[in-house]
Amino acid sequence: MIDMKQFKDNVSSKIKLHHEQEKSEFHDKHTNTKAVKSNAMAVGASIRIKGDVTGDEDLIIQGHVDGTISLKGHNVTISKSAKVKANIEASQIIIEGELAGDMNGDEKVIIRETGNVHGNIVAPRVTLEDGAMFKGSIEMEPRQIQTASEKKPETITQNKESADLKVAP
Amino acid sequence: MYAPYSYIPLTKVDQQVSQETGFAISSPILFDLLNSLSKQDYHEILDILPANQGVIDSFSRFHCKLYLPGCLKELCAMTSDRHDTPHKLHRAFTRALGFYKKQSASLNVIFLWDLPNYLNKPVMRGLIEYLSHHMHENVKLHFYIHTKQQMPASPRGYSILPEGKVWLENSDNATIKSPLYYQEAMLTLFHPFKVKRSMLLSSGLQEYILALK
Repeated sequence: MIDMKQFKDNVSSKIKLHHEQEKSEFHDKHTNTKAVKSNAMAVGASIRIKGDVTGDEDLIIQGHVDGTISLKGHNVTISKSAKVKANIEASQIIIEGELAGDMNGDEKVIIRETGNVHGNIVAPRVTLEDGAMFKGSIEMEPRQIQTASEKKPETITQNKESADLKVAP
Repeated sequence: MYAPYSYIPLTKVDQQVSQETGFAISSPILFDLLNSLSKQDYHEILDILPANQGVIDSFSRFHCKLYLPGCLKELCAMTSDRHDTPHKLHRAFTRALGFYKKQSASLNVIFLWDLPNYLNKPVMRGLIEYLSHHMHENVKLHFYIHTKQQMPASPRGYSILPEGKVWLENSDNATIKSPLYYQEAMLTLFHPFKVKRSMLLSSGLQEYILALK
C-alpha cells in the first residue's frame, strides 16, 4: 500500500518551491502564534473540561475538552498532548493534537504534522503540514467573492465541446 | 496568486523527474476541467485520496466544499465476498465516505485517480451506485485507466502540482496484472455515465472524464 508519510513528504518537496510566499507568510503567522501563546490562557495537560468554552482571549489546550469552544476574534491552539471533542469557532485555529469536531476559522486553520483531525473545516485558508492526518471536508470561500456567491448557484459550466475520444491501445 | 493552468503539448507529456520517488505527468483533461470551473459558482468536490496540501491549494481559489474522506485503504479492502449484498456495500461505503451520513452532498467533481483499476467490479459498480445519490446532474468523474499489461500492485498517490502537472508517487516496485479496461467494459462499470473526453498519456495511463448520460 502507499506509504502516506513518504507520499506527503515527496509531494510537499515538489510543491515547496512554489510556495515561498506562502511559507514566509506562514512563518510570520507561526512567529505571531508563539508571541500570542505567552499571553494566552492555557488548559493544562491534566485538566478535563466537559461543556462549552467561551471567552475573550486566546486559548491553548493541552488537556481534554468535550463540548464546544467559541472564541470569536481569538486564536485556539490544540497542543500535541490535547484530545478535543468539540466544534471550534475562532479566528485562527492551530491543531497539533487530536480533534474530533468541526472548525470554523475566520482567518485560517493550520493542521500541524502531529495533528489528527476528524471533522469539517470552514475557513478561507487551510494549511495541512506534512504528516498531518485529516478526514472530513473543507469549505473554502475566497473573501473577494464572498458576497457574490452567498447563495449556492448552479455548478460548473457545461463543456459544450464534443467528446474527444482516443481509444486505448 | 495562481496563474491559469496551462498544459504542455501531448508530445512532451510525462517528463520523468525521479524514478525512485515518483514522477510528474501532464494531465491535459484534468487541467482543462480545473480551468473550466467558474470562480463565481459553488462547487462540491470529492477526492478519495488522503488529504494533501496540493489538492487544498488547487481549490482554494474557488468557492467550494472539498470532501477528503481519505478512504482509499477502506475502499481497496472491500471485496465482493465480504460485501455480498447491496446493504453491506451501502454500509461499508457510508462508513468509508463517512461524512455523507450527516450531510447532503451534491458533487460536481469526483476524483477517483487510478482506483477503478484496483476495485473489483461489483464493488466499483456499488461505489458508483452509492455516489449517484450524491451527484449533481452536471457531475464530472475523472480517473486514469492503466493500459499496460502490468500496473503497480497498489494505487498510487497523486497530487496536483502548482505548475500544472500531476505528481505520481511510486508506491513500491511490485506489479500486478492490469485489468486492461477497454472503453466498452469500462462504461459497463460506470453505467450512468458517458465518456466526455479521453486521452492516452505517454506513461501508459488513459485519462478519462465522464459525464452523466
